[in-house]
Amino acid sequence: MEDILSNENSMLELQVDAATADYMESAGWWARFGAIVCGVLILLVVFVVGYLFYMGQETSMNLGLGANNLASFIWLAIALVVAFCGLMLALLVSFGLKLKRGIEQYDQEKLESAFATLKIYFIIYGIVTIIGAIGTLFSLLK
Amino acid sequence: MEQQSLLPDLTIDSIGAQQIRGIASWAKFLSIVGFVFCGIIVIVALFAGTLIASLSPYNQMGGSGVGAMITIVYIIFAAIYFIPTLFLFQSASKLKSAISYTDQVLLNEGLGKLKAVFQFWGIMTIIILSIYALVIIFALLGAMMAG
Repeated sequence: MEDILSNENSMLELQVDAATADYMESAGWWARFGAIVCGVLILLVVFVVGYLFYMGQETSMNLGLGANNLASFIWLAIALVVAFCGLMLALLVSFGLKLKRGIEQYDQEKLESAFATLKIYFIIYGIVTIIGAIGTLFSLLK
Repeated sequence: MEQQSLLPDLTIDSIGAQQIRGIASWAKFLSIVGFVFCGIIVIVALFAGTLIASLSPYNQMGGSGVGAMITIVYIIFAAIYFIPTLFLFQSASKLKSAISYTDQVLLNEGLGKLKAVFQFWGIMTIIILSIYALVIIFALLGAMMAG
């Protein structure tokens, strides 16, 4: 009886067949790979920008308090951008890892957790896009 | 035949379906914003080209060439950005339909398109990193030759 009920349920539910698992694993692999490579790229850019900025700061040490405030502001902006990118990339890596483990270990919870992580990634991306669009609109209207 | 085999105990149950529906909604929103962004880039490309071409200092030095160059670069950028946006839109549409109609084929197609989105950005990042590496190598070679 239980088997019949289970079979009826699976008829109404989407299954993770070999093709689905393959697409999921590939998506997870590319998400992890892209996030790691992107992380390296961001670190490289931050290192180069930070180095150039530091050198510029060294040569204009006696520009006064205003210059120091500007420097602090730029460092803060860089730190915020890096923190945000780091969070987004960490979410992508987490999505990829959970998806991989979920499929390898046939773990339903990890699979759902992977989808939840990807949803959070898209939500944050969407909210930042909305804030960016509103900011751009306001700056254009001014 | 092997493609149809089911993995034990793994299904897209109601919780999974809810998560996928959420992913699809936000992905669709982001892809629509992406399409608008592509449109804006194309418009800016057309106007920037005309604007720079009409500026007198540039006009005397072949400003129309610079304008055309900017237009082409912007349009190429828009075309590159359009590809993953289209994949994301297709993925969102297929995943949403798959959940609504409990369609296995659409689910697989949607996940395939999602894979294509991540694949595209992964390859693009490698290309950008390679360009960075080439620039650094050429800069070092230039510095060595100058020194």
